[in-house]
Formats: sequence, structure tokens, C-alpha cells
Amino acid sequence: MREDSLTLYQLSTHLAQVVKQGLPNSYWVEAEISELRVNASGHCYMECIEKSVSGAIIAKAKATVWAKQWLAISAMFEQQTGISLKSGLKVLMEVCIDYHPLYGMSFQVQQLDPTYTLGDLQRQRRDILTRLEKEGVLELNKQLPIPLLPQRIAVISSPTAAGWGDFYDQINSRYRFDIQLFPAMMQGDQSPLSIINALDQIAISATNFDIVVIIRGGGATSDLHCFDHYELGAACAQFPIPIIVGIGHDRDINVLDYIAAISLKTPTAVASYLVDKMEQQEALLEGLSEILIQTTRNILRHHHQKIESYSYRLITHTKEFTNSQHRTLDQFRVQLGMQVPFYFKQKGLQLELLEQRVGLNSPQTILAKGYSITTHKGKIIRNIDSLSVADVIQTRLKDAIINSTINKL
Amino acid sequence: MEQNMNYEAAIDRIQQIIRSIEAGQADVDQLYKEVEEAVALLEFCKSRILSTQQNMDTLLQQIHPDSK
Repeated sequence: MREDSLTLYQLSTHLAQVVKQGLPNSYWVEAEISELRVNASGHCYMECIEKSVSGAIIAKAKATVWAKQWLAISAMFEQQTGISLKSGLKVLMEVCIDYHPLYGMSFQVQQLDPTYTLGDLQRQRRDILTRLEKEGVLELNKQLPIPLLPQRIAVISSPTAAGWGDFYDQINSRYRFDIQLFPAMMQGDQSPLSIINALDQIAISATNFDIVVIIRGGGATSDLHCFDHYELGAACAQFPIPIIVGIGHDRDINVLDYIAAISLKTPTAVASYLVDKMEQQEALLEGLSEILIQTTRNILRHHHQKIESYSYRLITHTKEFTNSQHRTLDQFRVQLGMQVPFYFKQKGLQLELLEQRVGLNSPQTILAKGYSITTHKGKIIRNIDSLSVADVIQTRLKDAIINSTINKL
Repeated sequence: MEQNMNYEAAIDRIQQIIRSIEAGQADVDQLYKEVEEAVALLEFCKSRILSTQQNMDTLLQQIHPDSK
């Protein structure tokens, strides 16, 4: 035994003093939490690590948050990041270095900077999205057409979650939906694989479904980090049926929100969306029916009017035609009526002239002028050739007849 | 009138008859026959429209029962 040897406790106490004196300040340190547990007294014990680029652990240390700080620190962290402190997260924490003879070296956490973790999560999310984009699958689910009538619905949810109940209540409308639940764990590190399993189940009978709905009740501090998962993102992106997510959050969006064909805030919103789609189609159909009815009625009305106008034209023009024929005939009659009396008048005049002319040369006229007509045996005597002495002749005057006997010729 | 007369042909013939009467080109001896033909064709067209309308109403009622 050497005189200058120390007991373990002596050395450890010395070490503790050296550490305290040599590293009296607090330090901001970046590290990844590899283990985290809170014991019955409310103290939080973490295992912190740092990995190399290749993934090998190159540093490891214990860190402790005492119960009196733990509640405030964890609540503030959750409130700002939307997730709870847990293994796998990268954190920036202010620590004091403590060496305890019994418990060894540990970091006493004073405070955490949630923005660092937030930034790291965003970077992880970006990395997943960038990877999916490089693989050419990022937009695949978004590019699937949403069926006009999404009635056959595969729901991935936890059957006990409030979100499932909200969804079921809201979708209960006058439209018929065929809903089949594919149970899955919707939070915790197991949830990505659980959801992938549910997707695999749905894929077996993919033709039976129009749409896949992934929902989860929206707790106040939802742990959405589990959805920023490469395999889950890849499975959703390449799923052959459009996916609608409603995983109950109003903070920033996660990988599933990017990948899914449609991303809505809550299960209730998803159900409303589906009911709205049905309503839109119904309204569209009603509109089309209305147009069809109006258009056919207009066409028929148009033809009806056409026929009416032809009937009218046929009647009026036929009447006009026959009227004009009547008028022509009337004209002929009028012309005839005028022509006939004229004709007879003309003839009458002619007759009168003739009569006059006859009258001028009649025997009475001549006798009245003083001439006389002498006859023998009823024949007018124009010369003496047929006369003999003793013949009796008659001489007619205007007012008398003289009978004479020829004495001498 | 032909047995399998169609609406369009009937309309054409009606127009032809009316135009000829309008233009005063009708022959009085033919007038009765032509008007008789036109009236028959108009009746045919009317009944065709009416039956189409009835069929259409029945049909449209199937999609829109309260559109009467």
C-alpha cells in the first residue's frame, strides 16, 4: 500500500471538485436522445449520444432533468414543437456538468431550445420528401383522380380513438357509404408499421375501395412526428387508391400531409369533404337534368311553333289564293255585266238608224209629200206596157184611194 | 302520304307546297290536292311532336320526378 494512494471516494470527490471548478459555467450542447425515462419521483433521466456521419456512436453521456424543472421544460417543449421529448429527437440543451462520486458524470439540464429540435425535424421531413421526390414517387398519390362518388371507403384508424367516432357521426348522411375499418395504432413509434400493415390489407382488395381515409383524433398535443417516416411516406405515395388524411392537427404539416391526395385538418373535415363530394355530384346531376329537360322542351316548342306557323301560312295563303281566283272571276263577271248591255245598246242604236232609214223611204212618207201610187190588180204601175183601155186602176193618195177607168192610152 | 314518312321530309314538303301557293304558282285544279296533302303532313308532324313530347316527359320524369 502506498502512502499517497487515495480511496475511491477521495478520488471521486476530488474529481467532482475539479470538474466543478474547471467547468463552472453552463454549456449549450447539441445531442441526440437515445433513451429517456421519468422515474416515480418525476426526475427525467436521458441517455444522450452523438453519431458520426457513418452512424457510429462517437460520444455518449447521461443527462438529468430534475423533477422541479421537468414539468416546465417538457410542457414548454411539447407546446412549441407539438411533440413530446423522447428518444430519437435531436435537442439543443443548456447543461451544467456534474460529477457525483456515486452516480458518475452527468449533465444537469437547465433548459432546452425547442426551435433547434423543430428545425431538425423539419430537416428530417425535408430529407424524406426530397428522397421520395428523387425516387419519383412524391406526387403519385396526389396525381390519382379523386372518384366522383367516393362511396366505398377504407378507414385506417384506431377503433377506440375519438376521431373514428367523429368521422362516423359526420359521414352519417342521406348518402350511402360503405365503410370498412382497418384498425391501426395511430400514435407512437409503432404506428408507421401498423399503418403500413393496414395499407397492405387494403391493397389485397384494392378494387373494393374508392378511397382510403387515414384519421386520428386530434389531441391537444398530438404526436405527429411518427408520421414523418420514410417507409410510411413511400407506402402512401405509391398506394393505388387516393388517400385522404385527417390526423387532427393545426400546427405544421407532416410527410403524410404532403404525400396524401388530400390533406384535411380533422376526421370531421374528412367526413364533410366526402359528403360534400356526393352533394356536388347530386347538384351537378340535377343541373344537367334541368338542362336536358329545358333543352328538349325548347326543341319541341320550336318545332311546335314551326308547325303552327306553317298551318297559319297554309290557311292564309290558300285563302288568299282562292280569294284572288274569286276576284279574277268577279272581274270577269263585272266585265261581262258591263259588256252585255253595251252590246245590246249598240245593236239597238243600229236598229234605230235602220228604222229611221226605212221610215224615210216608206210609201206613207212619199204620199204625204204629195206623190201618189197607182196600181193595177195590186201591182204598182211603172210603165204602160201591161195596161189596156178600159182597165181599172187604183190611185193611192195620202188620204184617199181613187178608182179610175182608162179611156185612152 | 308515304308510309314511312319522316318529320324532316314532311316539313320540306309542307314548305314546298306553301311556297308554291304563296308565289301564286298553284294550279287551281291541283290546289285542293296540295292543301289536303299539306294538312295531312301538318297533322303528321303535330302528332309526331306530341308523341315525342309525351315520351320525353315520361323519360325525363325518371330523372326528375317533380319536373312536370
